[in-house]
Formats: sequence, C-alpha cells, structure tokens
Amino acid sequence: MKVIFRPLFLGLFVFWIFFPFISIIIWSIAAGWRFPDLLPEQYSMRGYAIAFDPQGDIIRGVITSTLIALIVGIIATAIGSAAGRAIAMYDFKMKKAFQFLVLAPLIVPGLAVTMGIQILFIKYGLSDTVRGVILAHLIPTVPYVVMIMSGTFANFDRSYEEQGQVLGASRTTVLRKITLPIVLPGLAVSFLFAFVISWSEYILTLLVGGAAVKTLPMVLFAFLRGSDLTLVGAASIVFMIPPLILLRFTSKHLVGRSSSVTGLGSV
Amino acid sequence: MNTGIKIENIEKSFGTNPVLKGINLEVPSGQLVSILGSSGCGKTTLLRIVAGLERATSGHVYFGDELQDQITVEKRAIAMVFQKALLFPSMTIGENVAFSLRASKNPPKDIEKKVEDMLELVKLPGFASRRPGELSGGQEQRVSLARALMRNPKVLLLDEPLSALDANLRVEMRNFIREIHDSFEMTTLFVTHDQEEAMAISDKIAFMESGILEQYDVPESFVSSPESQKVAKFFGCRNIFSGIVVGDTFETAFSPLMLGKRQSKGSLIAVRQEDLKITKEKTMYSFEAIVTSWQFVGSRISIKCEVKNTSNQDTTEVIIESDRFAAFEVNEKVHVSYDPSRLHVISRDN
Repeated sequence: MKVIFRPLFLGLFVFWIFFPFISIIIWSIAAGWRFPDLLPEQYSMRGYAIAFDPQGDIIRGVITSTLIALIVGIIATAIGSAAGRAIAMYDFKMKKAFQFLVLAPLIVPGLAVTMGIQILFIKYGLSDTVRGVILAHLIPTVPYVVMIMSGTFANFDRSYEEQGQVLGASRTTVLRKITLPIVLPGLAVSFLFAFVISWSEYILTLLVGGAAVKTLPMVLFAFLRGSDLTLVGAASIVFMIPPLILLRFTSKHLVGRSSSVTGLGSV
Repeated sequence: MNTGIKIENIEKSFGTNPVLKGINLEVPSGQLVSILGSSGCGKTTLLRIVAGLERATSGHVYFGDELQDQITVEKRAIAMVFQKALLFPSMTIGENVAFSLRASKNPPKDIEKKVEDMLELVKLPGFASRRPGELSGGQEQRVSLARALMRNPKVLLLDEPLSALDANLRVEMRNFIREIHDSFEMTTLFVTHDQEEAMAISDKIAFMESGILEQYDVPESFVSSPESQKVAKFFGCRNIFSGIVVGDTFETAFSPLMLGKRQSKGSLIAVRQEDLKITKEKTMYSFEAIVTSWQFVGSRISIKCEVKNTSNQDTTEVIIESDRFAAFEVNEKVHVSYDPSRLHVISRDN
C-alpha cells in the first residue's frame, strides 16, 4: 500500500502547489478562454507585449518594486543582523522585552502599525514618497531577518573573531574577512525574505505611498479590477520572475548543510 | 630584547564569582612555561587576560618592561592558538596562514613564498591550496600553529591546543611545539590540564587551583617536593600521611618515618607510591604491612596495603606501585621499605 500511496500523495501535493501557476501561465497566453472549455480556443502574446512595453505601467512598476525591495532588503538585513547578533550572543538588561519588541510586528498586524504612524509620516513629509514606503516595508521585514540572523549567530563560534584579533586583525578586518563570510548563508536568506516580503507588499504601500508610488502589486491590483485576465496572467508571470531569480541564487542556503547556519535546520 | 611576561597581582571576577585571586607570575624571556590545572581553575582566563581578550578586574600584565593593560588585542606582540584549530572556513590553508600578513597595514610582497616556507616548517608542504575540511585534526592544529608563527610573535599563547587530539598525536605534537619554541625567539605560555604534557615540554610549570597559583617551579619539583597537598595529589602522589616532624623523623599514626634531608616543618608528608618497595625482610627503613589487594596500572601493578596504627586501633592505607614481578600474596604480611631521601614534608596543607 505504501508503494502506491507515496507517489499518489506526492503527485497530489505537486499538483496542489503548481495548479495555480499552470492556470496563470495559460491565461497569460490565452486569446479567449470561455467556460466550459478545458483549454483556450486561441493563443496570443498580447499580454506579454503589453507587460514588456518599456513605457507601460508594468515595467515601471517592476523598476519601482525592484528598487524598493533591494533597498528594503539591504536595510532590513543590516538592522536585523545587528539585532539578531545581540539577541543570540549577548546578555543584557531587558533582553526579553527587546526580543518581544523586535518580533512584535509579526504578531501585531502591520496595517494597524501603519495606521498609527501615518500621521507621523505626513508630518515628516514621508507620505506619498518612496522613502516612506521603504520605511513602512521595514516593519514586516526586520522581524524575519532578526529571527533568521539570531539563529545564524546562535550557531556562530565567536572564537573565530577572537582568533582573528589575536592574529593582529582590526575589528573591521575581522568583520569583513571572518564574520561576514561565515554568516553569509544567513545574510543571503535574510535578504531573500526581506526582498520577497517587500516585493509582495500591497496594503502598506497603498497606505503610505498612495497613488504616488506605483509598485508592481499596485499595478497588478489595478489590472485585476479590470477584466483583462490575459494581461493579469502576463503581469503575474512578470511579478514572479525577480523573486524566482533571487531564490535561484539563495536556495542552496535554504536546504542542506548550510541551512543550520541560517537557523532553518538543525545543527 | 627582553620579551618576558610579568603578571602582577591579577584578580578577575565574573559577576560576584572570583576566578583569579591575586596571581603573580614572572616568565623569563625565551622560556616555555605551562599553566597547569584542572578544569575551571582559571588558567584559560589568565591566558586570555595576557592576550588582551579579557580585562582583569585588577592587576597588570607586562611584556618585558612594557605595560600591556591599555594595549588592544590586535596591537599586542602575541599570537594565540586555541583548543580548536579555528581555521577560517572561507579561506584556503595558504590564505589562513597568510592571514596576519594580509591583515597588517603593510603586507609584504613575498607572501606566497613565506607561506610555503612556513608550511614546510610545520611539515605540511604543498598544502596551501587545500581547504580546511580536507585536513585531519593534527594537520589542522599544525596549520593553526603556522598561522600564529607567521605573525612572528614575541609571546606565543597556547590554550590547550592538543586536547582535541588522540593520545599518540598529542605526544608527537607536544614535542613539535617544543621544537618550534626553541627555533623561534619567543616566550611561550602553554595552558594544559595534562600534567604529563606539562612535565614533558616545560621549562617551568605554574600550577593553579581554584584561581590561586599553588606552585611555580621546574617540573621535577612537582614530583619531588610538592608545596601543598593539592599539588601532590594532582601530580599523582597516592600516599599523603598526617603527622609531625620530630627531629629527623616524621611521626605518622602508624610508624615514625626517617627523613633523609633537612625538611621544613609541616603536618603532612608525601610519599610517592613508586618510591616504596615490598620486601620479605625487614630493612633499615621499612614498616610492616598486610597486602589487601592489587591491580594492573598499565604495565605495572598497584598494591594496596594496610598498616596498623600504633596510636589507635585503626589502620592506614598505603599504596605501592611496583613492577609486575613483585612476589607477594594477598593477606600476606610484608615489609614496605622506603628511601628517606625521597620523602617530602609538605610545608603548606591548605
């Protein structure tokens, strides 16, 4: 029985994961797809032609989203790594409270926090700006980085840094040549998470960026409100490409030997 | 240049827990001194203070005449090898060895040649392009030593570098460390918990216990004239009897023992088990005992005897270590003879 059930469950699982993608791929190249047809009658590349139009909203959305997600990824990784290291490697007063505060945005809905800081953003001229959106995106991204990096630093042997110091290396050299290469898998995974969260963020962008900052999710929602599913399909495919490229370069750190370094696996 | 180490009244506490209690130690330039003691005695903390990795609560460290207290770790003329080899995993063996040169402000031009020469010195020629994971434990520790020596340190600090290696390799490596020390002009502090290791390679041994420097002397003294009961026990002395010095003898509960040399006053006497012999006949310096049991200790045997006390109804246990051809039976009455010159009255009983 085992012999039959294992491939059956595996097949069902794969189908469950990939079915929405198959549907999107078909929609993106369908010229017309009516119920109850199993497949479209005609195919066309119209959706992709619009999606890749250099003057179009989608490409501009890709550029804005990429820029914001890259900056958020870098800042969140930097802040989260420092906090993660502090949590994992040092004892200090109010550590538990600090841990709770850092991870609170995972529990408290980001929307509620943004509602609260929106007035502050308007006061400081951050509303309707890319800077404001970047700051808002740090709210849901930093806690994930802290979680990953505290796991990474919990597995990091501080003696490596001391070894560097007793060999005459300055703190900067130790950080650059010893610490960073060792925690690189954790940093890569942290950056991936922060990038993907920022890349997919809609509500926070809408509240802080308004109509001025058009990231790809904003454009995609606008298309969804229309009824051109071919365009929605093509835009969705474009939406998936950057995170998939990033995943390609960081996936080796998510599984296997180095996953323990990122705090995702066991030591 | 004098590169001796002077440790002056070092105290260290972690919170309310004192780990070093007024350590004073002077290591002459060019000597290899072992800091010996059991786990938790504070020896590694002392070494880390000398390195600058830990700040002393009070006291001072000098290299030669130069006070080190305000000098940061990376600026001290030291190199340190830890218990683990700690080879940087992102670098090749060659890059590891060259680390201190590349980290300096003016890296020399002939780094590769220097690395190859150093690897040859530690008997690992041609290993420069290998990765840390490809080496055995002993080889990794050699690389770690090469990496430290590359800095041309005035003071070499070794923190139990052999404890992760197997027994045979440890013997080989400890001799190698002594060779390396002799061929470089440096002062070495070697932390270990292994008395055999310390005895084998040190010019002097600093024995620590519970944050106190118990004895600082040449290796032979720890066996022949331990200053305290703790030292005697740590160095394997199984027979420590209490009593008093009366003239030329030490009066124990079971027999007066003749002292061969003028000894200081003390209430304990250390008699090493290998300095006692079982004889059938009474000798000039012997006492009567009954063999109760024996067991093999390596290639020799350890014999347990009971001696009747003269002052009370109790008995005193005496251990004798002998070669395996000693003739006796269990429960047999024998004579235990000793050499008065080998007895040592302990001046401090802690």
